[in-house]
Amino acid sequence: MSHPMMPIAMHDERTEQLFVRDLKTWLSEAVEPHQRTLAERAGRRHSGDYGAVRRELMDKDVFRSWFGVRSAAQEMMWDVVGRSIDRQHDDLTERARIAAPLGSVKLDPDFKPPRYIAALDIHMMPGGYQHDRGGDDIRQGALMDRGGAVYMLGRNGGLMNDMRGHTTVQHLFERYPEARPSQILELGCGIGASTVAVAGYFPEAEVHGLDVGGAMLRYAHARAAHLNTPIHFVQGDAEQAPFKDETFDLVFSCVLLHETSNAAVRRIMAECHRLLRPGGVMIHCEVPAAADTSAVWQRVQGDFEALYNNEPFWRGVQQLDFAALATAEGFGEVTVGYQLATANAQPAAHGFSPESSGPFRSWLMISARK
Amino acid sequence: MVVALLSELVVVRERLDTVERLSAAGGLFSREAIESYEPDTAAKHERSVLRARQIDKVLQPLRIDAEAAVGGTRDDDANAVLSEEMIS
Repeated sequence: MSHPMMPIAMHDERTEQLFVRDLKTWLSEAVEPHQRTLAERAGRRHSGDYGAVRRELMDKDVFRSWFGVRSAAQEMMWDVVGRSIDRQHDDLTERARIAAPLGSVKLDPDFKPPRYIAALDIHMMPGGYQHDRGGDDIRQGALMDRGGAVYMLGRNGGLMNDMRGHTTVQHLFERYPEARPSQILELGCGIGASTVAVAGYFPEAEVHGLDVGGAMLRYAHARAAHLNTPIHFVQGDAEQAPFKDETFDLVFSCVLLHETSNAAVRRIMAECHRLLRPGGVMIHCEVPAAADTSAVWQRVQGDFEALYNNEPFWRGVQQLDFAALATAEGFGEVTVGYQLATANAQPAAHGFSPESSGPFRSWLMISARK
Repeated sequence: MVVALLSELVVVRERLDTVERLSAAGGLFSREAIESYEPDTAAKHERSVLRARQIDKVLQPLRIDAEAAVGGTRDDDANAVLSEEMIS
């Protein structure tokens, strides 16, 4: 399944993208287990001194080359997707021009993204979330949409990229079964893949999506309109969202928090509380927390994400006590646990557990009621 | 090594280009047919298997070096047997 805005891959472009996907899979299945053994042995030898472990591993050619090829695969992915998008740029721009589109997009020409977004290109995606040439530019959205499907190796709903949205609604159905949200906001909506998925379950609701990128939001608007889903996209900062107090009865995010900072997570929680009506629900869908953040292998993976994939907060976010943070901001009924991934939310129990079922099979949910 | 590989790749691509041009000229199939070709499920699977095999074949030094660094490979056993036999 796909949608009309999705960039199209010609014969060789599709093969290049499948190659990157298969290269990443091979690296993680054929090479990574050995690296893990090396890292854990070094961890036992240095009995918990991670600095010493890191120095030992980085002295090994075999370890550095694994980091290097992983990093090259990520760069190659953005490169092949980017070139494919540039080839069809005019067609995509034309497709984004819709005579009377559903929903809206409201951009702020003076908007400055927060430092954790502006300082580096997260996931090595050239231009990051915020790059925008102005006018009718949609390239950054197209890059994130097609690139994201390859990056997720097809495990987030293929070319729809929307499993997290469906899984977030499943969590709402299971933990807050009486909720009937009529005003919904997604923070950090990106290309609006989750926003559209969530909106589909609540056709009477007014749905808003907030993000930092102008080109991203123009693309998101065209994508949603082509899917006949009215969404109101707004440029802004999740720490200071441009909406009045108590506007929404559902505020959610999908993999937003780990792209921010320690201070920002606290402010975003406070902002969710401000934006929600009494009784409203906050849900943050996040990457799985590490079972043991001090474990050597988690530290190695954290190093890779932070230093080679521009994810500086990867490890920090895993050490947060989300329940305490939500409670401190005044929330009740705080829930932290794992929701089994689904492509079709049902108003019945599907699988919520304190234990992770593994990446992409379940998502960490941090939810609470005001 | 990379230059030699590049040379082979250039030859293969140019030969493919010749095949496509001759095919179009002879009315067999067009370039557009290649671009719009949709492999069926069986073809997709066969191509995936082929890609995985190519990746493992060309990049196997990465895997083999990692296996060797962990140790316990057949090479280690072979070296141990050799050194024992040479000593005895």
